[in-house]
Order: sequence, then C-alpha cells, then structure tokens
Amino acid sequence: MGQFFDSLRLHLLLRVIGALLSRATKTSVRLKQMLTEENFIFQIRTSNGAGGHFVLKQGHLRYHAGVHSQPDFAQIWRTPREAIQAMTSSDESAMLRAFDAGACRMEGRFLVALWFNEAMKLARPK
Amino acid sequence: MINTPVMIIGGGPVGLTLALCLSLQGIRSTIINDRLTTTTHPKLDVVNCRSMEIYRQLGLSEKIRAAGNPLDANQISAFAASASGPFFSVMSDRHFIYRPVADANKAIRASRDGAFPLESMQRIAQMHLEPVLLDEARRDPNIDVQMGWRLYGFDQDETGVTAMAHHVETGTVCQYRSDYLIGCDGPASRVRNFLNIDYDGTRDLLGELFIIHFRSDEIAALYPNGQPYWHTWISRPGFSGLLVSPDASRNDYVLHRPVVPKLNERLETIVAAALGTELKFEIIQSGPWRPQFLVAQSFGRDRVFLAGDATHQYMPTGGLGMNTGITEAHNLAWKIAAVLNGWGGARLMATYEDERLPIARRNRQHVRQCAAAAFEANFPKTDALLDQTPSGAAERALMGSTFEEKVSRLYESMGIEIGYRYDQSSIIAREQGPAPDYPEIDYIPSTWPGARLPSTYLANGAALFDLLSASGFTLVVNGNSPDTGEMEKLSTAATVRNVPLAVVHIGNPDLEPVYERQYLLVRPDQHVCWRGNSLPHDPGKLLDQVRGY
Repeated sequence: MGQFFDSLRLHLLLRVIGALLSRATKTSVRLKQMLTEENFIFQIRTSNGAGGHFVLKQGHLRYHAGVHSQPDFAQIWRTPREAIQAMTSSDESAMLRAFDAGACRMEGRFLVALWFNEAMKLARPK
Repeated sequence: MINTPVMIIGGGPVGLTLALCLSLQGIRSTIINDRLTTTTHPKLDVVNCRSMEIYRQLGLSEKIRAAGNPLDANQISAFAASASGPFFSVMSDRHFIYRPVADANKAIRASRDGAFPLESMQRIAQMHLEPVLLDEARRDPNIDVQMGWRLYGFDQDETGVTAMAHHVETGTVCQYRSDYLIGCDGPASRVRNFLNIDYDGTRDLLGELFIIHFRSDEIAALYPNGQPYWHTWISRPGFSGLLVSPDASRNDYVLHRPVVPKLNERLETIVAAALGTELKFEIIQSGPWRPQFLVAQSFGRDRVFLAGDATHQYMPTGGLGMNTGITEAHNLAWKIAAVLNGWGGARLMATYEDERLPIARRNRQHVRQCAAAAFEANFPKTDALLDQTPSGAAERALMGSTFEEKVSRLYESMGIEIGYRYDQSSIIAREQGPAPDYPEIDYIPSTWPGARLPSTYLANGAALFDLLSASGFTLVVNGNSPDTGEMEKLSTAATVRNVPLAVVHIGNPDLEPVYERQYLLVRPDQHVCWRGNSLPHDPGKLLDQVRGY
C-alpha cells in the first residue's frame, strides 16, 4: 500500500516538475536557449514501471505519464520513495549518491541528464 | 610605484607560463601571487601534448619531463573493480598517448604525415610542475615574481593600468603601473570580478564530488613492473571512483569519489575500498569540490585580460583546465609583445577574445561529453559483475568494452588538443571554399588558415616547430622553386613595418602534401595565418591584416 501511494506521489511530483519546467521556459533566457539545443526523451521510472517521461522535440518540452520504450536517457529507481527523496532534496549530490548506493540505475546518454539537471536548477522556485 | 610592462595576477601554471612566453619575446613582467609557496596539492595530473609543444618552444619540455613521470613509465588508463582487480580493461596500446613518453616520441619522430603532435603528453602533478616553472621564472631577468601579494584593486586609463596590492602577512601596500594587466588568478578571479565579468553557464550541475590525496609505498606493487597505472577507474556494486597516480615514480595518489563521504564514514575505509586489499597508506589531505562547466562571458576589457581558470572552469574530464589556459597564455603573449614592441596593430589585442572564447566553449562542450562518457561507463554495472560465472565474465567484458568505447575520448581527443582553429578571426586571411573538418577526437592535419601548423621532422632531423620564430612570423616555404623576388618583396614589407619575419625552407618532397601550399605564413604561436601557392601581390596588406593593423 505504501508503495502504491509513493508511486502516486512520484507521478504527482513529475507532473509538478513538468509544470515548473514549462513555466520556466517562458521566463528563463538560458532555458529558452537550451530548448533548441537538442531533442530527447528523458525518463524517470521505478523498476516496477511507475513514472513518466519528458519529451523535448523541436523546442517544445512536454511531460507524459507512463513508460516510454526507447528513452534517450532513463533513471530507473529501486523504489518510488527513493526517487522522490532524491528529486526533492536540496542536496545537489543526491542523484549521484543514489546511483553510487545502487538505489538508481541509469541508461543512455548522460548528457541528457546534465541538460535536465540544468533545466531543473533554472526552474526550481528561488 | 613599481613600473612594469605587464602585470600578471596569479603565479600558478598559467601565470608563470604567460610570463615565460612574454620573456621569450623580450617583454618584462611582474607576477604577484597571494600564496606564499607553490601548491602542495597534486591537483592536475597531465600536461597535454599541445602544452608540451609550447613548453618545448620555451625550452622547458625536458625539465618538465624530468620532474614528472619517468620517460619509460606507462601512461595507462584502466578500468577495474579495485586497484587489486579484477581489471575489465587496460588501455595501453590502442593509442600512442598511453605509451611511455620515450616510446611515444619515437613514434612521433617516425611519422611523416603531420598527424602527431611534436611532443607526447606528460603525466605530472601540479605540485611538481609549478616548482619547475617558478624556478625558471625566478632565474629569468625579465620576470619579477612576488609571492604573498594580493591584488585589491586596479584602475585603467588610456595609457595603462594602476594596480594596488597588499602583502598577505605584513599588510604592506604596493602600487604597480603597467601597460597591461592579466588576471591568471583562478576560478575566483578578483580581476574578473573587478571587471564585472561573469561566467556563462549554470553552476553546480553535478553537486559535490570528493577528493582524497594520500601516500603509499605499497600500491605500486599491485601493478605490472611496480608501475602504477596513470588512471585506474574503479567500478563495482556499491563503489565507484578514480584512482590517479600522477607520477609512477612517486608515492602520491589521488582518489576521486563521485559523492562526499557519509556521516561517520572514515576516509581510510574509502581508500581501502578503492585499493581492494589491505595496504599501508597515509592520508595527506581531502575535501569536497564542485565540478563546473563555465566560460567567462568576456576575456577582458581594454588593457586588462583574463587567462586560465579565470576564463573557464571545467570538470577535469579530458584534462583541459590548465591546458586550455596554457594555450590562452600562448595566444595572448605574442599579441602583447607585438604591441609593446611596436609592430602589433590597434585591433590585435581584441583578437585574443575573438580567437580564444570560441575555443573555450568548444572545449567546455568536449569536457561535458567526456564527463557524460565517464558516468556512462558505469551504467552496465550489475550485482552479478564480480560473480565467478560465465554471466559474470560476460558482464566484466561488457564493462571493459563500454569503458573503451566511452572513456577513450578523455585521452585520445587529439582533435581538441591540437586541431583547434582560429579560422573566424579577423587576423587570419580567410580562404574561399569549404573548410576541412576538425573533429574532436581525430586530428586531421591541415594548414587551413587559423589551424595549428602540422608538426613534422625534416630530413636533417630538425623538428619544423623548432625552426619557427617564437617572436615573429615565419614564412614556411614548401617545395623547391620559391619565387625569390616575391619573397624579397614580403621581407621588405616586413622590414618597413618592423615586423619580425623568418624564412624556413622545408625542402622535403615527401612532406609537400602535408603542408598543402607552397607558402605558409605562421604566427609566433605556430598557427597558420595565411597560405598560398604564390605570394600576395600586396604583401604589406597581408602583413597589416595578420598583425591586427
């Protein structure tokens, strides 16, 4: 049951992140520039399939619930709770710490993760 | 007030190299450094091929090699579960860069296609490089090195710069008046801050990493012939890191970790985990640091310029931090010297930023890709990695091949090291037609204007680079039937303008294709600024362009 609620919380968090990013694309000069730098599918999911993905295509960034079969980069979390903890942490090292500890696997192009990290820094409310 | 033609703020490798480059051209400088001594931290661990070419021009390459990794010691990068194995990959033969310098330089000398640098890289710690440069600077009558002085302000006007500094211990104040002031004062550059120039890019994309410097006399025995590999990347379930031996003949090691230690996690435990066996070691220093991918929005203003970490902060993946700074110093020095010696034009100094800012951005992009590649090499890791089963063996093989595919770019990117070009610069005589590619990884020799001249050895055994003028232009004549009348016109035009011009004849038929044209005009920084199969009808116009007049 706890896992179910954590999965819901993860969905909600990803949706909020999508909204924050969308808002920031209208206000951040740097983020506007980043939108044109490449196209990709960035996925955040758990090993049991909860999660969603962000699609950057031709300058537009959109969030979609559910798992994409061919993301360019994917974070695959052991549990939704660990994903939420890392994504909401004020510690910028939380992601790498989770990877180092085996709480998260990664696949694909890490440059996409760097893009996303930068976008998140720009979008996060000050 | 102390008068000096060039005031250099910061006496690290870039500031010292700038002073030495200026001195080679007869220009005096004063360096102030807020540290009292050279660094005691290993910091960087490589002087790359291009920087070694520059140090060769300064007559320092042998001294630097003598202070670093022995000439017969490896420059290997490997991937393993720990320093005691098992090893998934050992990159030793796939590129000349991994070979001992003595072997690599033999291969370089034997090549006839211009595809190699003149010098292989040198594995060396910054704490052993700096004393070589500082000693050289102190013995140079053109250079005044003042340790323990910190800049606290400067003003510039139309004729020069007045800088104010105080001694970090006594508080004594001193003023300096110079024609130019150069900030080589690192990532927290006061000069850059006083100029109100910020970095572009977003900070702290990867959070905090951790570094441990330690010494051990026992680690070397883990490696073949008692020579630790240069880099041992470590990855296994629950642990990852990079063990660096900056010099196989010394007992200093650096362990990089992608995360800071957990609360109550002992550093000794982390080092032991990297070594994979119980060995004696002594931790010297440690601390967190934040990798960055930043480039200054501008490289200076009027008479004040920036170089080194003051212009860029890179994660060290690819070894381009100091090494980019060395090439900046090399670019800046000849321009300052040309202006102070009276033959550089009014537009020359502005071309420093025009030429170097795009390279700093290109290198940043490369460093980002290298950083990404280093992380990606860890992705195939699973809990079965160390199983003594066929599937465990298959996973280790996959880790090894992934590492070579991904991480080799950190070491083998000769396109970045020696293939960079200034082809959009206003002091480069542009050519019509499509420019040849200059990819990041492979270096494709080219004399396309703006490119670094390809390096070769001539039939008489001399390296062409050793014959180029370091303080003026060189007309390189390729082929056997030069037009002496036209060459005389060029020489006369140079003399009238007080522009130093040397002439070098290659005289090797087998090298003619490498240099592509019969005539090449090469700058003091070894970059081609013009080429042609006949000399220009108005040589004065060409000289005025390339000297920024």
